[in-house]
Amino acid sequence: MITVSGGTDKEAQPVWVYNRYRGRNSSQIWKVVYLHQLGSDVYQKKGVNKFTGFRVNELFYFRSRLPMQRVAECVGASNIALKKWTKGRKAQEFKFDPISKTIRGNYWTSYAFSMEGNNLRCRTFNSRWF
Amino acid sequence: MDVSGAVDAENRDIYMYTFNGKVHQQWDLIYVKNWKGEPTTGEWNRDYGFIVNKDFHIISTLGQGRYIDYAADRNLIIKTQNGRNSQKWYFHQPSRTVRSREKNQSLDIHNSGKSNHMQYYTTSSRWW
Repeated sequence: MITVSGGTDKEAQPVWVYNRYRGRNSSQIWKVVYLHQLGSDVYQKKGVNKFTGFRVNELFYFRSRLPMQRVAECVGASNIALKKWTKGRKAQEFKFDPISKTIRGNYWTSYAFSMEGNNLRCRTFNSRWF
Repeated sequence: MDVSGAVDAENRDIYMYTFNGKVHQQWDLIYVKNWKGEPTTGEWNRDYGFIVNKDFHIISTLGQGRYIDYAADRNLIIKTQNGRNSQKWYFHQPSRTVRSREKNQSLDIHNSGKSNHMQYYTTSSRWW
């Protein structure tokens, strides 16, 4: 079977042949899409992404429902903390990037949300899903 | 996404934690282009149900319809309407508290929220 090595979904991961895994395994499932059928498989440029529910490339805030209604902010390019909303502060603005399928900051634009254990960080995005 | 220690304070760390459905794990996703900013004087704060910075009385529904006022020791009491600023209150948007028009200090629960008694006190926006 044509297989993604290690089942790891990251850029430049090798594709090889391997025995068929038991059961359905995403690393061995492929779909053939003819060019004239592309449509929904082309990266979305606007509208709601049906898989995630985010509006593509539209800036948003994460506003806490705790009483002071503070918002999430990237602090020092890596930590994410609760802060009072400030008009126009880009570090408080995020957007869903349909290509990397990550939540990216609007100030440090090459950074995306990343989980490191329980910690939530802004890191250079790699679109790696664990 | 969770707020560390469930404490609603500036610079509090945001991290990942097992879902428990509590308010410190609840977020509103607000698109910037739809967000008009926080309500200003005279505008309605829908989340809190107050008009910002607009004076109001708090009137008891007991028979005499007395107004919330305060005693010399800061404690809240009910008193007959007298037109003084000590019976006027307003919603303060930056702190999300109800403040006395006369003292510009906020409604507060004694003993860091561990008492039944209410007073007015320096605004801290602390929620227990």
